[in-house]
Amino acid sequence: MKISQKIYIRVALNIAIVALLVSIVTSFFSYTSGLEEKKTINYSLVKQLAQTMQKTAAMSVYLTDIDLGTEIGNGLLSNDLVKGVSLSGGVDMQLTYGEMDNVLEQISINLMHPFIPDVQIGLLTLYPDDIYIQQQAQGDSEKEVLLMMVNSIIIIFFVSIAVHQRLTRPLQYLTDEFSQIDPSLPETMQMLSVRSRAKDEISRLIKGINSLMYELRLTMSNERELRIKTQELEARFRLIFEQASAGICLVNQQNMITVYNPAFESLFIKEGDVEMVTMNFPILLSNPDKLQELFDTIRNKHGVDQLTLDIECTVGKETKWIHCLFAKLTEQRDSVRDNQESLIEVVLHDVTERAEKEFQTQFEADHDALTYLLNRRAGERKLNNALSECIENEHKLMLMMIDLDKFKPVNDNFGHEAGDKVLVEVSRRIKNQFNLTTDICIRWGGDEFLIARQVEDFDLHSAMTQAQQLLQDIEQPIEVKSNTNCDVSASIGLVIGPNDGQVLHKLMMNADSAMYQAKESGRGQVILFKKT
Amino acid sequence: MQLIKSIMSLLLLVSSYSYSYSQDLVIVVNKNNSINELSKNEVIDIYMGRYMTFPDGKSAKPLDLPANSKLKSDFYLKLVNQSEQKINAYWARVFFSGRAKPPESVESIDDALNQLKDSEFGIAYIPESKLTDTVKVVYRLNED
Repeated sequence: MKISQKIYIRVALNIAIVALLVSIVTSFFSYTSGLEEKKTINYSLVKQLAQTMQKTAAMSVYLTDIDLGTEIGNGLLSNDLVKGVSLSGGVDMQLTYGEMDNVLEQISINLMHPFIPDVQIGLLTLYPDDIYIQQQAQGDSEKEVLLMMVNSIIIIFFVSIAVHQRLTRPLQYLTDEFSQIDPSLPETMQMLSVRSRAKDEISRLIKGINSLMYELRLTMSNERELRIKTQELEARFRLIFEQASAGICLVNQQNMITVYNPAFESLFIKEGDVEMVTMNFPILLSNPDKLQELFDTIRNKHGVDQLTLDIECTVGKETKWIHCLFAKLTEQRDSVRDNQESLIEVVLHDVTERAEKEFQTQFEADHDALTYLLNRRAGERKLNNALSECIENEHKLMLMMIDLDKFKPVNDNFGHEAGDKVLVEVSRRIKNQFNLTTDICIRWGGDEFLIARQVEDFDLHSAMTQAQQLLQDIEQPIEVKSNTNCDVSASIGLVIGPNDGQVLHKLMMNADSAMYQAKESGRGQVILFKKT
Repeated sequence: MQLIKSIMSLLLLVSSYSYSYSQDLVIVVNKNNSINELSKNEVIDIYMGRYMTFPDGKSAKPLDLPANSKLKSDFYLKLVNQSEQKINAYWARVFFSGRAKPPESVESIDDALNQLKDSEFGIAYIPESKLTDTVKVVYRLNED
């Protein structure tokens, strides 16, 4: 059975149950006590009845008047309270009327001699009707119970009405008002109206709710404003972050990328791939050792908050030059949370184009436009460096000064283009033989070349062999036009630094003199400088 | 002397008055009645209608002196210590069932004596001074 959830019905029901129980218990006690009381009253009534008849009964017994006795007996018996009557006096007078079986109690009255005091002449005994008395008591109790029930029902009715009026209805009203409030919409948090004259708990509750709601609304609208502001700011920052042309990412203590923007992603996604190959920053930039070192520096070295680095890295088949700006993030929050790992912000620019342009410019500045060998200015700088390095490392610098023989006739006979072709071909052959990274090949000017090679130990034989080999290479015929070859030769002066000169100028002078010596000795040969 | 005389005469008067009214009442029956003596209870039972016979079984016919007479009221006061009105009320109650009858009233003491003279069943009460030889005393109602 479903019991209504409404308070006033439940309260009424509770009261009804209690009232019923109380009624039952009370009725039980009232019945038992009522029965006793009724019995006592009725017994005393019976006794009074007997007393009323005492004189007459005494007379009837005195006169042995059966008729009078019968009259008395029937008279008494006509009473509802009396079940049986017995009148006894002497042998001739033994009268009984009604029933007297199963009667526990009896009321006897001594019948005295009407004329002689203190002489008993008989006994009048009345047997009260216990069942009748009990029925009466029961009837009374039932009436009482009924009254109590009616009383209870009336009380329940009015209590439930009172509860409904005073409690449920205001509560219902409160609930209805409350249901219109949506905490997510502060506009709906209207003040609940209070019945001004009432000072009861519900009114106080409403007032409490109102003040709470007022505070809440204030807080919430503040919060909302703040949130909107934050959202605006966030959107703006996000826009900056996401629309930035520079790649931006955050790197944690483990060198892993935690956050990155689309520009960053586009830098490192290979063509055809969907995502980046790794989130490990040093590996992603294909330069683990250097970057690890850099991170260690920026993290641990006091006072270093920013570092920049240009990194060449390979993404797929592409080689990119990336300019990176590393900055240690010193958020204010970090000071609060000590154990928060420090993050490093990296801003990356793709500088490949610029770098290439710079390389190009540098290359053009350093190299001869025709032969792509180093020009004199760059060559001299490199030679200086190489000589210093050799002195420092106790290495030797093998330096050859080469001047082409019979070059002028080529120019004159075949034209400048052919001359240029000869120069280019010679340069190619030089480079072909001196192709170590530390080798320095310079077009010193016109048809003059300089070659320098660093060697750990000077071996005259080896040096001479290399020089002879080069000479043979140069002397190979060069095709200047279709079906037209021309032969050039060269005079080579060989010096060994720093033995033949501690400074470049000195070394060069010696090389030059050895080369002239070769020319004077008939060209097409290698002369090793000898100190005089 | 005059005073003593008057007091004496007064005392005499009082004593003679008291004498004339405090004389004993006696219960009498016909001289030939076999009953010689009755107890007070037997007298009561006969006069109050309990028994209509003498103890020996012979019928008894009690006679009563005129109503509201000094003697009658004295008799009932001495016998059952009740006033004449109460006795009348008693008889009124008993009369209703018809079993017992009150004593028959006579006109005077002499009338009672005359009836006793003729009837062996009669029984009456008279002052002791009115005793005749036609009746005999069966019970004496004393002052005590």
